[in-house]
Amino acid sequence: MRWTTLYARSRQVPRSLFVAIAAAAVACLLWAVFSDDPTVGDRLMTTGVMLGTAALGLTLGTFDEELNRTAAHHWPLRRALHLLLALGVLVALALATRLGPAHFAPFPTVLRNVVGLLGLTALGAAVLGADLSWLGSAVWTLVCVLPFGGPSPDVLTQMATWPVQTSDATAATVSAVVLALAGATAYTFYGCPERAA
Amino acid sequence: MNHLNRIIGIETRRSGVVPVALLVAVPMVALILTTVSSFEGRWLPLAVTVRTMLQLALPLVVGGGAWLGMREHRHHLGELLASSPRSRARRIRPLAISLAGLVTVAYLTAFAAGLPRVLGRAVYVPMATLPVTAVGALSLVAAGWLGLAAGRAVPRLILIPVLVVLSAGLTGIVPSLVQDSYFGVDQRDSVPAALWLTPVWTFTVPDFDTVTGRTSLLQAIALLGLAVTGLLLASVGRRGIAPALVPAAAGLAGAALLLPASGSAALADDARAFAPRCSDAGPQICVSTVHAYQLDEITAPAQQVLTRLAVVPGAPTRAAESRMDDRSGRPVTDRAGTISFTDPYATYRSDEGFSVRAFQQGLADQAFLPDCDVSVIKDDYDLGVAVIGAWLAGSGSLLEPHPDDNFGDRVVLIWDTDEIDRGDRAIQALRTLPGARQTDLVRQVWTLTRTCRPEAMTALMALGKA
Repeated sequence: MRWTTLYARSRQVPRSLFVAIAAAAVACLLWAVFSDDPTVGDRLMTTGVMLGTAALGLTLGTFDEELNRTAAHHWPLRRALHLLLALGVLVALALATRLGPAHFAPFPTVLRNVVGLLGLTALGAAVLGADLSWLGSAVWTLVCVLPFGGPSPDVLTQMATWPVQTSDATAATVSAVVLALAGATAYTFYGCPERAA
Repeated sequence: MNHLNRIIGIETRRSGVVPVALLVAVPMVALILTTVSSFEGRWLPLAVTVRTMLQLALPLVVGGGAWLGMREHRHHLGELLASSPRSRARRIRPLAISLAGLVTVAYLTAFAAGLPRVLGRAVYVPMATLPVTAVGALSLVAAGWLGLAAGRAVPRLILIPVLVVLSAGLTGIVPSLVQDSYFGVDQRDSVPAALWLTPVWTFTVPDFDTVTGRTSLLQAIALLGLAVTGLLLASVGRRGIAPALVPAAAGLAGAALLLPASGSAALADDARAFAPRCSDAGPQICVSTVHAYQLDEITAPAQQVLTRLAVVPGAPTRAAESRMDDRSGRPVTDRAGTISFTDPYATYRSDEGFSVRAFQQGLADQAFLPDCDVSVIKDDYDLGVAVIGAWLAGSGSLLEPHPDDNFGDRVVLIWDTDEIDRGDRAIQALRTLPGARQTDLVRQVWTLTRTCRPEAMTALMALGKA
């Protein structure tokens, strides 16, 4: 327990959790103020999810990766657990929005976006370090949620703008799963680079 | 100066300005390459399309600037550098200049990505292209410098995604939502003029309109103020914050004074864009100057329709582009003896782009349009005209209406299978008749529709019943 507490503190988990919760809350409240529809629009929902994954992405690394590596821990296992916990937190957050005036739905779409964006963030952590891990998912999300993209029958478009496709778009789901697997694999086995970008 | 140049060069190479510029340029170029149809052959729409990409570029530059602004803090050099005899303003200047230069280059790169589709095709270069582009580049400079200031003030990484989302909301998403809430033809004039304070383009600019100089001027004034404030905030200490805000306040105030009375007043009619340009030989085909790049492709199909239609009494002798009548969704009738059509590439499309058949059908629809309510004509007025359209185009079957083809906001005609069968049979029967008989029938349909006789299409459609 003590190890877990110290680990969480060293990775600034409380702060990130706070930001993730705030992002989801702000997205839902904004929507509730400006719309009568109880379901948060998919673009705002995706943005909220992206901010959540960005906040949790900052916990994927620590101040001194080199020092960490010297510890006699099985890091890959811990890193995989960390990612799974982050996924659990985000899914729980998305479900918790049902208690408020507006909520994230439909669940399959939310789940796909959480999984895909978290994977992209993990991939970012493995390549750029935790500090900039959110870069890829922030840019990708931004490109999709702006009016340039939207639901489309075209497979390439579905793959490129997967966060804003409907949940029955297979190519979009494939994109998200591929990103999730790539991110999870890279982060689990390699962790953050010792000298971040 | 030489000394400063050297430092700027070093800063450009080592500070991360280049990745920030690439982060902006790459998605912008990709988006430009995927939205070619909205600007091809036209300068001002290209400039405006690049401006709409600011929805993406502006937040990214704010975020990138913030990341650069955190540099000293990130490397724990704040105290060390503060002890050096150079003032903060002088330390930040090379980075600020380098950032401004590279984001400008990124913006112009996006513009250049669209050039191959415009250069050599457009015969008309509207004056507004330059200011619209300059304001776009200036907005990125202001965004970068404000980002620098924000990153220096709050050197926390989580600030960046939050800042990106906030600036995307403030400059692009919220204005778009406000504008959407005024959707509707009658309300166009009531769109708040304050929407023009954001450099992100949310309006569509019709091809026959131009952006007034006043609009670009007010945006430039506001952005200059914001840029100077950003630079000052990035370089002054705590006591300089209040004076640093003066340029932004002055710029916004000046811009507010210049705002037009209504949102739509920021655009003005462009008579030069609408001036006709016509084909040299054969029956005269005219398009507006701004669409001159389409003339080569549409001349032959339009002339074919005119030539085949010449068998009817009082046949139109020319076809010319006109404006769209917003109420009826049809081209405004230009003058007698002329078939009017609207922007061919935009109106007559299929999935593959410009559809010659849809264009010829549109000409037939327009040519046969009587001066009365066509609902008087019983029995398939639309189907009959479609059959005649196929005959004029020399085609053996009905044009299948494109699912999202709305011939300029008109009610879409989606035939059911039974109608398609009847139409196709009628066309084939018409084409197998002797030549003289064909022209007689077309003449008959023409005369009866002009006078709005209920039985106008009867003989023609009876062909398909056998």
